[in-house]
Amino acid sequence: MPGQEILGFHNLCVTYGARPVVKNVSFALARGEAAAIVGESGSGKSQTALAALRLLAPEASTTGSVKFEGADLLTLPEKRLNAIRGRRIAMVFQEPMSALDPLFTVSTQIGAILRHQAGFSRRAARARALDLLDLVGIAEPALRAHAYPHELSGGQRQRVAIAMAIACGPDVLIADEPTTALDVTVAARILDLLADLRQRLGMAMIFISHDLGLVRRFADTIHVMRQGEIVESGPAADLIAHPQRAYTRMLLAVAPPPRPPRPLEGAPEILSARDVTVRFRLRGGWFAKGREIKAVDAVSLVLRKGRTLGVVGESGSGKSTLARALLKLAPAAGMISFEHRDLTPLSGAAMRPLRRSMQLVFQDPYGSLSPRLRVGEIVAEGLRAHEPSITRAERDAQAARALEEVLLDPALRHRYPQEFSGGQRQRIAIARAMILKPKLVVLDEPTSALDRSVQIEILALLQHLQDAHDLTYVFISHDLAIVRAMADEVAVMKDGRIIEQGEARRIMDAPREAYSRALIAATFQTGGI
Amino acid sequence: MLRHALARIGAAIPTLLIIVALAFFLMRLAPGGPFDSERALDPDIARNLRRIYRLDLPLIQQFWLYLQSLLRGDFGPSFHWRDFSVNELFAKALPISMQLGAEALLLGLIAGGALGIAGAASQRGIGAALVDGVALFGIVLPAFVVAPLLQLFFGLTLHALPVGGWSDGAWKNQVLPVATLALPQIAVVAGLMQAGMRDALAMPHIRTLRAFGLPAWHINAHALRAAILPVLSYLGLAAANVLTGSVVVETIFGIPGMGRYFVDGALGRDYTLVMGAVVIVAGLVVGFNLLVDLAYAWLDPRVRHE
Repeated sequence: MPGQEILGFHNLCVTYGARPVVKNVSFALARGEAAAIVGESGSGKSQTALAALRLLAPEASTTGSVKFEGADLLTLPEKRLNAIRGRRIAMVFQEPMSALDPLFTVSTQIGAILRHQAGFSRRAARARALDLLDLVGIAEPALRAHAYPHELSGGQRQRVAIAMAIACGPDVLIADEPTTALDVTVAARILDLLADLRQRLGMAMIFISHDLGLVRRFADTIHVMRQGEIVESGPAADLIAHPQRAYTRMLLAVAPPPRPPRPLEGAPEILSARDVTVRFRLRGGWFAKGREIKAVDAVSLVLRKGRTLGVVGESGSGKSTLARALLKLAPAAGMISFEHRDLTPLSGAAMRPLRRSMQLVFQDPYGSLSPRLRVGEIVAEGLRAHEPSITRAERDAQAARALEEVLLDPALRHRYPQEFSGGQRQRIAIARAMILKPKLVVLDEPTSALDRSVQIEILALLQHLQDAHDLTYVFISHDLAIVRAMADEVAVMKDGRIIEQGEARRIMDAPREAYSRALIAATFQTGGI
Repeated sequence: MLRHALARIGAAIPTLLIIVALAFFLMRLAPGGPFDSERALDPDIARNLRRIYRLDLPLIQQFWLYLQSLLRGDFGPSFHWRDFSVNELFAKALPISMQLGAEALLLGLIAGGALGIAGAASQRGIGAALVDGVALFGIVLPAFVVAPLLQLFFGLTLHALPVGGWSDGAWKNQVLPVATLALPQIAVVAGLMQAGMRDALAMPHIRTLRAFGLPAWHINAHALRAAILPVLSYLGLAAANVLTGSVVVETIFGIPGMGRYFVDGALGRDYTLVMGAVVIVAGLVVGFNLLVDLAYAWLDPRVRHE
């Protein structure tokens, strides 16, 4: 299978000022080969790929060489490099929304590449753009061609980005986490498309991912990166079967183990919801009638003390809206009772004393902590509202204890959140909820922005806190592997409804609904292509 | 797009109505009236005057009458320049002010835009610092400082340009007032453009274009379209700034534009004149903002589809 070398990395180093991010990376890509670079965030895998096409920020400096058919891409004059970019080596980026220009239609953007890089006339480029959209599996390409990126779904956008990449029939396709921003079922289809196109067009491919389980499905060779270095390389099958490094083994242990089942029946009810419905009214214009969308549609559920309900579903399924409705943070119809007290008639002011028992932890540990407050102030802020009488010193002491409880050094409370890593920030967010001694905590994708190894630490922390304080969790995630590790009960959501609900093990082992089966298959799928 | 345009126009009408009502009643709240002078008028004459100008009617009825004549395009008679109607006064003054404003705005856009792009192109160099400096200078220096300095240097020292007057719009007479009026606009536009261009060039979709080896002019065109959006948003405000700024500039350079009617009209309680000026300026600003909104929607499809 591996033929003659087409792209060779030789001692590539990338530094930002004095900080090295890629250290002496060397590997070769053969014609038609599918290579994967795998590592956690900050391992330098994207920087390696971007360096090859000289797409790094101007502050970065590179040494070493990247040879493409004998020419060093790092020193080639801009003009000759531009003849290779897009034409011979093309790239697909992670975030398809920001990678496409929001101000231009899809066909204009594909057409620009065809015109400038393949010498098409305007008319021919338009026709070819339609063919390409068809090729990447966009339904009704003639209609979609005039769409702007924001009018397409995430999966469709990524298909457009792929159409741009294959427009000139490149020899090498570099895909930088092309499925990470997508829902699992969509991601699976995009992967199939990439694998199919690679075979049809005979491209070599460098696939960059944090997910070793994902790349094993089609990569010939895998390079594992850690802290800027390649720590292990080899044919995919060997590397998966006999990983040499502990780091590789950690990446391979894709899914944390399922939670041992606990009895549900004995636990008392803490919250129950009946027919909860949240409607969003889309404002109409002067000449269009407003539409109504049911983000949550007649959902009924029961939460039991000390147990975890996992809510799974893809983006737009209404799981976050449901969580906000349960806490009365979103206006909802239906009945919600907390500790046998009906919350439905309570006003905002009457809810306030109850709020301390119901806390919320958000997905994005970067956006949810104010960059202008010290960590201690962030953690103690809830106390100012719920226990205004206690002294500043007492608040500070409680903040220190809360940080200790989430296994952070209390001395760090005088620092600002931006000095912490993603995992540490999520611990801070958890401490902020825990300081109020809540009974119910809603965790909205609390680990989705984190690397797998950090996810597992956060899950262990959450389980420890649950056992110590008899907490009830609502755990929302698109990632079934994570939900399986946390939840006693699982609810599968689609289009605002709970389509299947039951004991976690039962749903994971024997899902009744086709959609649940598809979600589970997309998450735990192994086999090759 | 048509729907968007109609909705915007629909929203502009009540805005204008509210402005007219506010100006009308505020003006009447101010103490004094158009016929007050140092020597008190004979009460009979005063009563007659008030009757002729319908100032004896209840205020709300006066407002209703004013709105009706406004719809006919009639601003009414001037109370101060008694031989002229407000329409006649504006017919001479408005074109001058509009010409001055349009030229200043255009100069601000072109010079400011060019400066901003040049600043962004020189990334970290002294070019960027220079543009920032010029921008700050233009913003902090008020027209009543800039104008006399320009008059001193170009008029009295170099004898190149006249220090004032309009001479039926000879270009020599326009240079200094337009430059004075445009300076703050150049400064703000340059700053916005430089920041916008720098941000745009760092966006991921620009990196996509570079990854596909597209020519530099193509990439810059994409960045420019994104960078122009904040400048466009500012234009509505700029139009208002230029119009109010022209009051000072016209006074300093002795230009027979709208500016003096604002001041004289307000001091002399010339109700119709002030109202006319307010309606014209408000109409221009609202109309200009409408154009800006539509241009924005045309440039940015995301706004159009909201």
